[in-house]
Amino acid sequence: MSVLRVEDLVKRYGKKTALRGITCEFTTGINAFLGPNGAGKTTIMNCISGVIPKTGGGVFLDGVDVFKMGKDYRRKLGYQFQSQPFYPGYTAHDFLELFGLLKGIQKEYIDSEIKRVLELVNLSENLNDKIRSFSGGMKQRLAIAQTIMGSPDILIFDEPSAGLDPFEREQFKRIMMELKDRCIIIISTHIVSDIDTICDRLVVLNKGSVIANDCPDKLCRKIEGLIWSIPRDELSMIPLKEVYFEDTNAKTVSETKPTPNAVLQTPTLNDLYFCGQLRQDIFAGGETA
Amino acid sequence: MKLFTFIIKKAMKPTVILTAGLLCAALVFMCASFNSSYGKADDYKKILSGFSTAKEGYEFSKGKSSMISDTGNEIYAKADKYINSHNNGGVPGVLPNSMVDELLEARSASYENSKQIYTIMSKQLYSQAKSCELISERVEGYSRNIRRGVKDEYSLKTAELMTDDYTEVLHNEESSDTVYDTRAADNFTDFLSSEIISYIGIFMLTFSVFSSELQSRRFASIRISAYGAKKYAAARSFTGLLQAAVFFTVFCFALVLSVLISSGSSILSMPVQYLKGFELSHLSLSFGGFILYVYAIKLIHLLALAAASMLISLISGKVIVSAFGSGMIFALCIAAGRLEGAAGQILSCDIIGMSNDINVIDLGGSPIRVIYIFTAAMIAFTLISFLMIILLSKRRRCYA
Repeated sequence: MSVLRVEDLVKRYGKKTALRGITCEFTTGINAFLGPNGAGKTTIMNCISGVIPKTGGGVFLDGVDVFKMGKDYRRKLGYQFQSQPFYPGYTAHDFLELFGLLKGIQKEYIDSEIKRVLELVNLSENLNDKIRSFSGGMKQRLAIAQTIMGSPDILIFDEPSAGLDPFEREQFKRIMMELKDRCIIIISTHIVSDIDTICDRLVVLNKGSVIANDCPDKLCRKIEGLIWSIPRDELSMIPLKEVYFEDTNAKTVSETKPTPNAVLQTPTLNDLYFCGQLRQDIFAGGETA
Repeated sequence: MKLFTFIIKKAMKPTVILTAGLLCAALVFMCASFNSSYGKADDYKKILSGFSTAKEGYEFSKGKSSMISDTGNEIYAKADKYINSHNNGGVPGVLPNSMVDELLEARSASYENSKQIYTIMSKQLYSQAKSCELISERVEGYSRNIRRGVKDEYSLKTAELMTDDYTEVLHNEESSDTVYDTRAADNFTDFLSSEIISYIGIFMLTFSVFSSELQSRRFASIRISAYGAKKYAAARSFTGLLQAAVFFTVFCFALVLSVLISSGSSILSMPVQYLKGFELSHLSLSFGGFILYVYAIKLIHLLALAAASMLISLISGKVIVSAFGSGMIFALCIAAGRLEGAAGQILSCDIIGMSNDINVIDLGGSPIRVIYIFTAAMIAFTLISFLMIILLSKRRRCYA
């Protein structure tokens, strides 16, 4: 089982520090970065994949510095950008053929591989359509297809569900579930529902630092007894900035019962996300496993 | 190789479209200049075919052109004199009918046509008639210097170099006794020495090759692929050079074809010294060989410019900046055409000018033709730019 380890990763842009010594480990399965916009999710993905140079720290695959591995590391990598750039004049086939060649897939296998990945993302009928005619969701699916082409060992998805409708999001989850047993999958998102039922390991980020790092169940157990649902007529009793809304419920994080009719809730990943933003002290110590 | 093939295939479509578009513009321009304002082509050819030697034709057309011009001037002078001498208190005199008839004759289209035909003919046939004589005089001059034992070794070597070249030229010229219609060929060399369409085409094909990839962040995806940036950059820049070569080859072919349609294929065997302004050229080439010579050197120059443009595109990373940077290089080449001397010829790749003068420089005490140094420099520059593109592509960051 391969292990991808990020050790004390630092990234600075001039005076601004985007990553403040991130340490975490990923194994075969689905690993997720969760955090708000500006937390550093895309930056860390870019550093792991080599798109941007790191300022400090290292990334190691089975103990070997990935930036010394060069082509060997890149062969194992599939990366889907937050907004994947395309060649508008290309067809879906052309685009995947180009990236198939860039990934080093043998010419004789490329066509079959293209058909396979397009079928997985429900774009088989659009094989010879120009990308400029694709909707946003179709482009996102094409980007996912490009990422999984060639069956890389490490798959990195940056906000993969942006632009996907609910059915397509579920389809994406199904694809991840199929691949999880043989790949290290890293997904970054601020949409909890992307990963809530499939994630094996979760890293919660905020302002360039790791707030929590463990499997979702353990992290949820950490916040058991802290999540309360507040009736609408009692909302005025607590500061609004401490309230978040999930479906039709208003919730808050508190060690004690915050309002007379507040109801204790079983924590979900969504609650975990908001805990990470509202009450970082709960996870003081960062990495827990 | 498969990546190369794929990229070449995808790049050829815009090349074909651009080539076709600019070619139409060039051909329209060239045809217009071929047909520009000289008499009737049939009359011209008929008169020309009546001469058995170029010398005969030159002497006749020169004399005829002078005579027509002098006659016209005489008629105008006579009319002016008459008007002035018959001035009646500020009212100009009325010309008699005979003088009016003469004036109308002098201003008629056929009179102008004849004048034009013989003027152009005399200019055209000058090179054919006089080239041998002029070169012989020059060879005699160099031989005299050598016999006198000129002390300056460099001058001596230059004289020897020119003597050898000219002796070979004379040998070729002596075996040619056809009278050639060089109007189309003269226009071809005029056009090629000042045309900017090939610069425009190469610029449009290459200025955004890498800057568009970097600006759109496609390059980031390519950099982290197994093949990586280096091989992609090599493939892409090779394709850029190929696009430039295809464009210029098609362009040149069409120009040559238009010359052949106008003058026939016999023009290809004409000594290059018979072209207007080439009387003293040292090149021992036929016009056909000269076309290949110009094509090869101009192609090397354009490939160097294409490589520079792509390198700027990689370094700049933004389409607007690369357009400006590459545009400056091409604009410099065009503007340099207006400069006098070797510097202007080299910067603008004025092959016609570089080939038509002595144009040698002292390299370690030996005279070396500027055109050879220019060509070697362009080849070296292209290779260095190509290598720099490959090396820099690995380091080029494109993501904030």
